[in-house]
Amino acid sequence: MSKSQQNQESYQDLKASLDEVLNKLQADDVDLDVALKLYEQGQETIKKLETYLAKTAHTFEKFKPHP
Amino acid sequence: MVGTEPTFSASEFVVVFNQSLEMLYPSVGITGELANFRVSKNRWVYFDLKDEIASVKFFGTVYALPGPLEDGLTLEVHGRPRLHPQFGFSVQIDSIQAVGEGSIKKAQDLLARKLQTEGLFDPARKRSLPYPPTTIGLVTSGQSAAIADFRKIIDARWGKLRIQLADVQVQGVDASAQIVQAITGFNQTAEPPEVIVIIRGGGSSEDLGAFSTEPVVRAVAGSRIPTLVAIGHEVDVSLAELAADQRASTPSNAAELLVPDRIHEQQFVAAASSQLYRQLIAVHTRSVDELAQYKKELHRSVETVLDDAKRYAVNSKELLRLLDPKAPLKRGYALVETPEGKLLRSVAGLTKNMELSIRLTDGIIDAEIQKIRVEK
Repeated sequence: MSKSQQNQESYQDLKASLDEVLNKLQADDVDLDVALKLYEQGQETIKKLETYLAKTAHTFEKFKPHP
Repeated sequence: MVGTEPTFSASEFVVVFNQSLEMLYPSVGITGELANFRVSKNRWVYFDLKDEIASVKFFGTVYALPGPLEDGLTLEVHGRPRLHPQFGFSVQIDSIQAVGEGSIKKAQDLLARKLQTEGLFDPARKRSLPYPPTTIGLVTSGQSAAIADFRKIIDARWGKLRIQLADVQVQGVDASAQIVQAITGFNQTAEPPEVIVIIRGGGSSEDLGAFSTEPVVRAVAGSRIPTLVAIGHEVDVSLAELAADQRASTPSNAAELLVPDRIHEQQFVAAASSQLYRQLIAVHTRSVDELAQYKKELHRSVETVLDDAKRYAVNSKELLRLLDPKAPLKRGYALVETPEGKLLRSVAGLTKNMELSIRLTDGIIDAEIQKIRVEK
């Protein structure tokens, strides 16, 4: 996915993506190769979520009430 | 002395008498107990005012009535005394007001019952006032303490609002008509105010009487612009207040109801802003914690898959080991085959001198059958 596409993904989209990875990983008949690929995909999504949260924390600073 | 006084015809006398009366008493106010009150053709009003000694006749139109009247009320009636050529002497009514606590209350009760029946006080009619308004139409006396109190509180709480003042008398015979005119005027102006506020400070029942007259109450009830009325003190409740969209106990209270307290509102906004920020941070923190849980779950899930795969491999290895056909050979067993490679499990079909291959763990023996013994 390109960077611009990544930026457009909402937090909800990323969470839904991670939920899907976990559901597949926890299925009874998951193949080992597939499991390893899913794990990598999950890790990528987590990195995106962490970046997203870090950016919003920075944005929230602007909303901090002045004393 | 007979012969020296002027002599008139009847009609001449009436003219002279009325001219004299007009010079001396163009208008009078008379107080007395109401008697023989009647309304004719829904237009003409006739009654007497009497005391212990005398009785005076009055005549006028229903438009002069402050509200419903009944015999026994004490009234003060202002009017013009006239001698009618056919109907005799009467006072032509200009204004009527009840006097004395008892009469005032009774008149007010009569009017209240009438207007209540018509639904003028119905809570369902009440409209909410703009909060805060941008323009106020104020009906009060321009010289009163009430207006000073009102303006002071408005300015202190909210700041300068545009106040259009209708300076009226707030007591006396002319008060009712002036108040009605002020309300009507605000309703008809090209740029009407957003709310009409009618205020008056404390006073006696007579002083406050104008605000319980039928014309004023109907004007308040019929105003297209929402109304706020504050008359007298807390204990005083005029009928105009009952008909208004909102009532205040005093003129100061009226100002407090009309506009918020700016400082209080600023504090509220600041507190709301802080609360909003704290909520934002709380949601963010929850998301961070949730993500940490997700990471753990991802690790656990893939570890489970790996563990399962390892267990499968270990189990499969053991199974293969158990299923290895050469395993029994190590324990001293042998495999017997025909020269064609067919594995023998029984002595059935074998004959003497047949050739066999005997496979041991480390090699093969080519053998010939010498003897066959059957075991049951």
